[in-house]
Amino acid sequence: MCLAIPIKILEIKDNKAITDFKGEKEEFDIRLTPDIGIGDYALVSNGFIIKKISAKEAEEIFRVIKPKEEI
Amino acid sequence: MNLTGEQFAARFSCRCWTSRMKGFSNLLENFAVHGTNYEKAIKILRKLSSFAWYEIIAKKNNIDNPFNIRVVRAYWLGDDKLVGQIESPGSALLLFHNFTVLEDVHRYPGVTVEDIDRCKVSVAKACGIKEGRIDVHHRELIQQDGEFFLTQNPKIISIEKGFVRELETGDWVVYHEEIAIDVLSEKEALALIQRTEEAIKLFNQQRA
Repeated sequence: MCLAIPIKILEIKDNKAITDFKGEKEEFDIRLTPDIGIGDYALVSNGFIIKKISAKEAEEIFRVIKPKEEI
Repeated sequence: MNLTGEQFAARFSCRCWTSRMKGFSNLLENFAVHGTNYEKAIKILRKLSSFAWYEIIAKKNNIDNPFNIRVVRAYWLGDDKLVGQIESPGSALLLFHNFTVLEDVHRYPGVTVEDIDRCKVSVAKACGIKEGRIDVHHRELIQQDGEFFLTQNPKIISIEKGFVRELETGDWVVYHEEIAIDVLSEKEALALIQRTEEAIKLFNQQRA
């Protein structure tokens, strides 16, 4: 599978970010990507944000994968 | 010709889910073997989620190039001291494919344990070789009561000979998505099995 899911950063507090994935809120550790900011898109895995990506890249991934409720 | 980190990455990524969905498999396979279409292949490899892990491992070890062969091997085989663990309150992250991939079952209801079994990096002894295929003693990933395990009793499965040119019955072969990637020494193979079991144990502990 080798998937990584794009999310959008809604809020940052200390080392945690509140994120949105198609309406689902989740908290992730941001220490691997300290340059992340509110409104950015990023890939997440196992409780961590692992890479900041552009909105265009996020859209490309959304086109390939389907969120939970659509599977 | 020595295998570059980029080509080694392409061997593992050519059959991954994203490559298949986006039609990248042939280009990456040709690049892995012949080094052709270098720029396109690199562009694709940089877009795959595995590249994010190469970047993290490289940064953690002060290595400039995320495609450094040691970095790529560390992520896929876990056979290098570069693989590490990142701690966070309540969770830990092992920078190794066979750890990171386990989460997909929980995150995506459409993803099955069988999918992850094919996606994990496996190593097994070859027990038959014929017409471009290899029979191996495969230890399957299973899930019982919410926990993952590797079966103790291997079953024989057939995989593509893929990137392996010379192989004898009894050799250890590493494979991903049912395509052979390389031949490993017994020491490397046993280390990969041990690290996989450690990764599964850590994942189960965190999910408990």
